[in-house]
Amino acid sequence: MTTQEQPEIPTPVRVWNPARNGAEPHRCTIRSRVLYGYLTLLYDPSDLRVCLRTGDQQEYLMRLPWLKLTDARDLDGEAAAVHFDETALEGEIVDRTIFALRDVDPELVRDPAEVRRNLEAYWKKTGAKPMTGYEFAERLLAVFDSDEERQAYVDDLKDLFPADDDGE
Amino acid sequence: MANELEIVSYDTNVVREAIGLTRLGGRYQELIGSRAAALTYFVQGELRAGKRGRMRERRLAAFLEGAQILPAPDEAMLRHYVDSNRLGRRLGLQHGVGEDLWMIAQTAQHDFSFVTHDRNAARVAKAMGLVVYTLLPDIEADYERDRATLAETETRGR
Repeated sequence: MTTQEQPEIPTPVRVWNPARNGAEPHRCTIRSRVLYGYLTLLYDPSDLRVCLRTGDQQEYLMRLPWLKLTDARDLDGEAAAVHFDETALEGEIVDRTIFALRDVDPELVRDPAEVRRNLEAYWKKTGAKPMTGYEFAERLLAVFDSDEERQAYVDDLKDLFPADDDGE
Repeated sequence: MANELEIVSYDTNVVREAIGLTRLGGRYQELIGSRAAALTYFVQGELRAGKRGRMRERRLAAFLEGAQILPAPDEAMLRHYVDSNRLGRRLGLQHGVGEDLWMIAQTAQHDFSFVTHDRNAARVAKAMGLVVYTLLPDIEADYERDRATLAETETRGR
């Protein structure tokens, strides 16, 4: 899909207008559901960036590099509309619904790649080994000598930390 | 390589289902099995709190030491907690999420996805903007109502 063919995102998007609201650093995070994934838009007065993650529940969910936001206008909150350069996307976008829109403390918004690097350095220090969900469950199951032991532990966790949907 | 995969933070109830070898647990394993596993500081605590014998305690501790556990809470995580708490209150869930808010906050701090079988936790995590994996029935209807509630309270707050 090219930029020219994209319809506007119809949902009004409230974002920071530096001209009206001042130039202090501010970012607004918008997550929008797209096919197989989620779209995150970060905005601050000096930079407009889109972070896109795609993938579905059966596949590796990849993080693409920052994408360029091709157009942003009327960044005033009441009727802003944004267009995204979706040429790097595979598959048709079927849902552009803005899921949640909220202001985020600018100090809490960090580049996901930087967060990941820091965490990997931390895990290297602690000796933690990456494992998939399958490996995790397999290794945790190996902690128990018998089914009875395992079940007693599971029952205890259920008593201690019940979920409000237990039984569904 | 697991460290190149999307990282998913587990709620305790999902770990419990997965090792409970229930049908639901099997479905959760299918959902998150090929993604990388991470535990928040708090889920680690809950797993260690489960009743166990001395031998098993050592083995469990050894297992958890080798797992990808998120670091001890810091100031940024506390601010995410305050954020999630406020959102929970706006959704009318001030008493319904409790300690799960801590794991949601730490998951949000690291921008990981979250898997849970707790409806209230799923709702707050979704409102926080997290990617949420859950097999809870009819959760989309809850998300839809929450969207409207948040939009309404946002408007009133302006």
